[in-house]
Amino acid sequence: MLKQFRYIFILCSILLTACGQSFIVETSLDVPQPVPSPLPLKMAVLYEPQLREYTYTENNEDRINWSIKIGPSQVQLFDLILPAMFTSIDHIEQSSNTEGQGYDAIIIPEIKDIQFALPFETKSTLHETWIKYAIHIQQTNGIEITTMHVIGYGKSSNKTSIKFMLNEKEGLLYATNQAFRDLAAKIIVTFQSNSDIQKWLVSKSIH
Amino acid sequence: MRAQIYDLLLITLASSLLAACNTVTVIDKQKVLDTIDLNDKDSIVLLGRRHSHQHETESDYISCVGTNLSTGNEMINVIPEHQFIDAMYPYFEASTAPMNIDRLGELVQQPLILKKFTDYNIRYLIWVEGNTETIDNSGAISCAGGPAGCFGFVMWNDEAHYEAKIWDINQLALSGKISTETQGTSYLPAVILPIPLLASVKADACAGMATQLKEFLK
Repeated sequence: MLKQFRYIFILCSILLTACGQSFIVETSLDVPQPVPSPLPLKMAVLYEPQLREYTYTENNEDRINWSIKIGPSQVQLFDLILPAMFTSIDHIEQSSNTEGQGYDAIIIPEIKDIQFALPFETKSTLHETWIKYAIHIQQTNGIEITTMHVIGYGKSSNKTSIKFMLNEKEGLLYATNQAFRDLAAKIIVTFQSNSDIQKWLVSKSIH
Repeated sequence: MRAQIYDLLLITLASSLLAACNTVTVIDKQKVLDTIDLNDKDSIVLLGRRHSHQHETESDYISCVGTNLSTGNEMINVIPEHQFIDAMYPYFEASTAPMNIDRLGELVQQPLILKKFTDYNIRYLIWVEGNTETIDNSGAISCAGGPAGCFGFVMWNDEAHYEAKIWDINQLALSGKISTETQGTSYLPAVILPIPLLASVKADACAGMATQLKEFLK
């Protein structure tokens, strides 16, 4: 009987330890409303499951049971910026069978990589986040117009990092929101200056 | 007699340390346009340059200069930095902000951007670049546990370099430049308790910049 209690005690201890060290969070989004500068285009956006449901996971000695859900924030981000970029934007479920629906092009955002750095890893007082995207822009017949590669970077400020040292989650979420903010700004500005996009707009008599 | 000598030495040491905590500020001013036209209804906005992660201009410095400009004699309407950046999103982020006045000229061709400048009555946009950093330090303090407390001496030199470029929004031209360089040495002697004698390098650089900007704009 005593032996059984001992096993139960050890099992509970292991489970409690594991729970205590797990890092399970969901990012949120706090990015200002962009100044609208809509191009007269009817666009469609496809959020593939890989983007919508994206969860960053890692499990090693330094980062035990990390699980950072960022999918919903990504969708929220594109839903915030795309209406400021185009006069019309629709959500679609698949890129095929879109011919004849009057769309000028289809946007398919793809997350390529996300990285985090914590203060104890970089010997600094900063939490940092990098997010890398490939934004595919294609015609309704599947022909690619361009793929924009954009990297967003965010960090917690020195002042707030002292507070965040006590709360790893807050620091990381703040840095990730800053990365989203940087990313969204770059997507809007890069789209306007991308040479392939410029050529395509000229071909459509839009300047 | 010996006590008097010790007192004198202590006073001399304290005086020299306090004097040493003072800062030295050098200011350089260059006016490019002859006319400066800022009336009471006009506003300015001060923005820190942060395109290089290594040498970002501190938000608290921008806020300090802004506060000094908007208070006291000859007050100037200053739009808070974060309010302006959020209102202009995404065009004044660290990675997207115009680096030269020609790019600003392109931006204000967008009607909604121009409207924001008009709504805020922004007459001048001032970019501030630079930062304050510790350039060297020496000494050590040892704090043993118990009643012995701390013992030792540490000193360090701080240097602040800032340059403000004043962009005229109406003329889309550079109105002038002001730069400040401030240096100061801080001391931390410790006999049982550490006694910080800090040089207010950043605060002095802020006050110097604000005074010069007021003179420039009024």
